[in-house]
Amino acid sequence: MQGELRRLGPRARLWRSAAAAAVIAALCWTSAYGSDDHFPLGPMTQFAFTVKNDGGEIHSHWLEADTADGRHVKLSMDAVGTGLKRAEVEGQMDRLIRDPSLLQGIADAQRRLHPGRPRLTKIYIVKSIRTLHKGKVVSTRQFTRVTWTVR
Amino acid sequence: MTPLGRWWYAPVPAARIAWLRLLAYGFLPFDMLLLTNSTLAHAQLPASLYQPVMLARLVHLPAPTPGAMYALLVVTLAAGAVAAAGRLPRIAGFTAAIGYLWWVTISMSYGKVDHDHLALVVALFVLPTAGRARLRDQVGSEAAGWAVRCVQIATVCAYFLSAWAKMRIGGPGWPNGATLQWALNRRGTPPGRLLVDYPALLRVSQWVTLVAEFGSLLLLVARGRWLYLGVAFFAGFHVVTYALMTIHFLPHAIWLSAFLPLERLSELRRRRADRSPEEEPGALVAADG
Repeated sequence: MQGELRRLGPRARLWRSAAAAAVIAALCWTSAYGSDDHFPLGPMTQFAFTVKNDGGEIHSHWLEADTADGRHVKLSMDAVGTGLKRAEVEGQMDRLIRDPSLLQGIADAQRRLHPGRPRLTKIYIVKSIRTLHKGKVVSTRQFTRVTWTVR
Repeated sequence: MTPLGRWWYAPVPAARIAWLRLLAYGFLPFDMLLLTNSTLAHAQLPASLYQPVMLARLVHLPAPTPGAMYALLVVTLAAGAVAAAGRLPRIAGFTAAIGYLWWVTISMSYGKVDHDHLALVVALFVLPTAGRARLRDQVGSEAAGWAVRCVQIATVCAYFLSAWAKMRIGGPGWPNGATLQWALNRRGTPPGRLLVDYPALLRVSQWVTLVAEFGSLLLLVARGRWLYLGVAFFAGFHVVTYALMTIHFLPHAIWLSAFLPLERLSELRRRRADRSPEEEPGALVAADG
């Protein structure tokens, strides 16, 4: 970089410094005290939880369904398949258990997104629990958490 | 100027901004159509499943409808294309930034928040502030320097704050736990699943991750070979994470390039263009091929 140099005036510098300081302060504050609600700021909680090596459990949920042509299928894990991703189903699990009628919305979305496929008649939220011993999976249980008969 | 000011406003050739804009606005269609396309699927869901995050509630962002989200997609991508072409860098750039923030906020308002978008959102908001920037413009600019530094800081923040969150939520015992085992069980690829029988190796990986995330601050002060080594390490980290559990973190990972002297790409381009066929008969074939 030789010769001329484009400098910034004091005012241009002031708002830039103030904006940057505000965002960094907000990031630190949300990292210390905040929750996912503060998106797009912190805390950066992906994989921040800990799982016990002995007796720790790996929980996962997914959706299954009966279809109008008599099959039992596992619904796709991505949003475009069912309207909700697995992590979103898990994020709203408490609500879905309190009010399974919310699953009706998934059946309706599935019908709109994939009009050619057989209609869903019953939706299940299935849960599996894998238990760890010395950091390895030693047992797996699987059961149905919620069912909803599609209207 | 204070040392902090000299560091944050260290002039950078405007060409680097031009390259970063190509990256940002070139990445937008990929992100919006493939990574955060859940926004379009969400628009098909009833509003009862809409769980707006705080930002969405503050600005009263309504539950999405398909028409509104397609319009948002078109406006954001079009604004990005205009800004990438070097036209109206501020107006078009801020339009793309606000449009994308709206889009990604809807995407995160259905019960799950992802944390790989901080650097992308920051980049979209700071790149327009540098004003006009051409690929050939090698003149140093403090406005460009500030914007590049902001992207670098956002990139490092994503690592550093992840380590912070691990200490806050998982506690100091986090690296000795079985979090990686949990992740590989839920979403491990075939190579990833090979590792589930080696808990000790997983613990070592957790230690490496934690140390690297805290150590990422060094990227902000490293120079030359050490800086490139650091960038290569984190790029490799993302490649391995993708291979083992298909978590690519691309909206974040691409901003590692803000640490590289992208402006040199312009010189390469010019050198290729300057070579005339008379001087170097072979060069024409090479440049065309």
